Amino acid sequence: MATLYQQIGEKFLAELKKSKDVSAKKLEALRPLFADGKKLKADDLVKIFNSADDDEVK
Amino acid sequence: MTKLESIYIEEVRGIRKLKLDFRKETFAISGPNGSGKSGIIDSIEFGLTGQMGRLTGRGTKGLSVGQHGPHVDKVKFPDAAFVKLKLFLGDLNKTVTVTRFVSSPKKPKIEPDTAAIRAALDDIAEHPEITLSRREILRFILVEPTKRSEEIQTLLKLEEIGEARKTLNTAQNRLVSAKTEAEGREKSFGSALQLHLQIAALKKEPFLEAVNKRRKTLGLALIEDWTQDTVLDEGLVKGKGEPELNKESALRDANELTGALVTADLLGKSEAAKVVEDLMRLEQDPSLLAALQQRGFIEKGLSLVEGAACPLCDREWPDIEHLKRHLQAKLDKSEEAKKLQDTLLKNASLISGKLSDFAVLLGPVKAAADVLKDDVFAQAITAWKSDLDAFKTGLISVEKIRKAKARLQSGWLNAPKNFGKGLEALTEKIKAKPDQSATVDAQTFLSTAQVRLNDFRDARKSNKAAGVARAAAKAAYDVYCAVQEAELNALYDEVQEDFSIFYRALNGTDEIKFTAKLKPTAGSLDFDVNFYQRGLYPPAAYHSEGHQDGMGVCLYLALMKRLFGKNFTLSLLDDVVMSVDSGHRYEFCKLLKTHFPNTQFIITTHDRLWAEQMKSAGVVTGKTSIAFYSWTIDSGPLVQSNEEIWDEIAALLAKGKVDSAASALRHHLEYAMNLLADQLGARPQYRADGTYEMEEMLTSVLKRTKELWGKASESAKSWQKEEKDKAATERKQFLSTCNAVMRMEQWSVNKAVHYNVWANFGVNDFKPVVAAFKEMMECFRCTTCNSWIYVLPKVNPQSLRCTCTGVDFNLAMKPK
Repeated sequence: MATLYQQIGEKFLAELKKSKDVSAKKLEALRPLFADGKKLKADDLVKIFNSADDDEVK
Repeated sequence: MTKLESIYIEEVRGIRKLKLDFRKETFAISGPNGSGKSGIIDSIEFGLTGQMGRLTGRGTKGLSVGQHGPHVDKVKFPDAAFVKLKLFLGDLNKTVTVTRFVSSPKKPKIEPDTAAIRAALDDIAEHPEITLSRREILRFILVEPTKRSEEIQTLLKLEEIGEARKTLNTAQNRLVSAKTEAEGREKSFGSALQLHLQIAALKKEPFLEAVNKRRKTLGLALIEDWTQDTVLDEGLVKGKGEPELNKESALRDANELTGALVTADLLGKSEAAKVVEDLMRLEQDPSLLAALQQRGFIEKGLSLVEGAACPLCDREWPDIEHLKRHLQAKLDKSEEAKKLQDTLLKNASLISGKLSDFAVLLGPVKAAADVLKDDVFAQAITAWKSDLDAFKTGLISVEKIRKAKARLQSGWLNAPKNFGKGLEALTEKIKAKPDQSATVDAQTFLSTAQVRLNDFRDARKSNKAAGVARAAAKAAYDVYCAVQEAELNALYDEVQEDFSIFYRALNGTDEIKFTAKLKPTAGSLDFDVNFYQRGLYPPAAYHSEGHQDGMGVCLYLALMKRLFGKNFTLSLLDDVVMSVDSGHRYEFCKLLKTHFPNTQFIITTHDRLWAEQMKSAGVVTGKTSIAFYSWTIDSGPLVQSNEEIWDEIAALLAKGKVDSAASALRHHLEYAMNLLADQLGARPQYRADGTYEMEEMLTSVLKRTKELWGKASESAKSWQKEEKDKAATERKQFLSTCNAVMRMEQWSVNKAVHYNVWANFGVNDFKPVVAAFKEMMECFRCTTCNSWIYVLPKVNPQSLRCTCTGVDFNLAMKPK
């Protein structure tokens, strides 16, 4: 049975998919961080949010 | 689904050797304070988790299971201290024996030992919250909302949710800072471009007008439309000789820097003064400084926690949660230091921004110095720029800012010596250059404009990327907060509903319309309860201590139900309803039986009446309860049992320990007389405080028992039951002899509770006292089943009985 943390993680990713500010590429990069139950690290998140998106306006 | 079958404890806490059969059923342990009840809870906890909450929880600094887990006489021999726990693992349908030694709490011996059983035991070991003590109740009820939130989140294992939110927020904050920095760079490079173009704003029309004016001079095609790839000096044939500068633009750059230097002393001065002021405050308050230094260290440590070993000192903790709580508690103590840190970093960041704006002015002047081969001044600019960059990197932490204090006091810009003169000389050199022809002016204007446009475009691109990153981080944080809040609200709704149901069940008609509200807000958890339909108030506002105790237990049960669901099958309640009155305790028994029929509770209490109530309410039976009457350091808990008590007293006297034997006898008599007074309907003089002297109780019980045997004799006569009459009469007569003995001086007991005149006797003086009491106490028991005699019903009794009916006398007269 998924823990509440995992349940929130899953709902978070589903909701975030609706956001225009987060690209599909970033979302996919975030997914494993919330899925494997490991401790979340700010450095990893910053790296993902800073990564260039293919569909980003140059 | 886990239940306890039995436990054997040896040399743990205050217990020497003790075996209890829990039979997978709710079990009550009663006894006066200090009789060893909590030692059993400690031992069960230890057997299940390898920990003892009382030695590892809050306020237990300096205590440890290894050092303080063994009996005090075995402190140096922790190998002698162990617990053997027999558990039933329902999910595996297996009975397992776990033997855990204090000397190696993490290496229990498990029989049978399989991977599935180990996994099940590991799961149990992660739940020390199955134990609830009174001090833990206060954690839920009487704490401030932020603490309650932490406590309940800890209990429900919600910290990782809070930690994820904090980490997302940290990432967002970093990207907000990065965006601010990128905006500053774009603005600075934009200003340099604007200065060169001599336009009021970076708008398409004036921009193209300034550029096309030079292109027209050079006969180049005019730029009609502006795109992100537009090249300003397109078509320009660049000379192969020395690079040229645009005289007018270079002069403007030099003048801009000269102007900035004039007011340099004022740049960021107020912010620097605030930083210095805060640094002085730190220096004058060593405790604040220590808190701040520790804070950074601990924050780092907390972020690095991955297991039970501390990343700061390598110390092994019982578990990761324990370590995290320890570090978080230290952080919580330094809130004032945190505020100071925030202010310091905020002002330092403002200085950093102003520094960046200023540093942008150095670039074009350096380029002019290079073109004009003013190497000394060019090197001075390079050195200053490096110095400013290094200074800027020192503005990101309090420790580094402390090192920069002197510079912040004396003027942080720290212009190199004679920089003004060097700039003046460079300006003169620029001025001394012959006026450029219109062609050269236009050429250098366009090439310089292109260089600055490139810098500006890069800065703008970075700023845009920073904006995208910041927006993504913000969206992620906002969405996580919203999802977390929705989920936690649902959870708290469920908990508050169960809590209200349990509390209403506990209080019956008292608070039939009772409701409660758990309201999570920004990291805290408000908890309000309805006070007799007069509105919602904090629990401690109007409700009595007893009601608060009840609330604590009910909230705990509601939380455990949410946490474990159908797997809430075991709970240790250590003296948790001490302030709840006797009427409500019956309701509490009903609550346990009705709402938790599959949960095995191990309940300790120092209240003898509560222990009896649990029996009469059917929560426990004689077989699933135990009473201690005292404790000695040599024997451990002294169990309430007629056969054993006399053996124990004899053993103590054999060792010459009259004081211990006297104490044991006294406690046994107190227990037995209270029980018999209740079961036989004795009538001691009523005392409002409920404290009765043993001698008074003894007299009252003897009188009542004789009266009952007299009634039994008369009844037997009326029914013409000669044998019954004879037996009842014999018992009455025997008690009369005891009555005579009672008057002997040596029976008297000093009224001071903690002083016992028997304790001053010699062994041979005391032995007859023990023998006389032993003989007398036999009158109150059945010789077959050994249970204490009682009357039925208690009001207007009709019979005098024992459990097995070996004693069964009619008290009612035959109707005439």
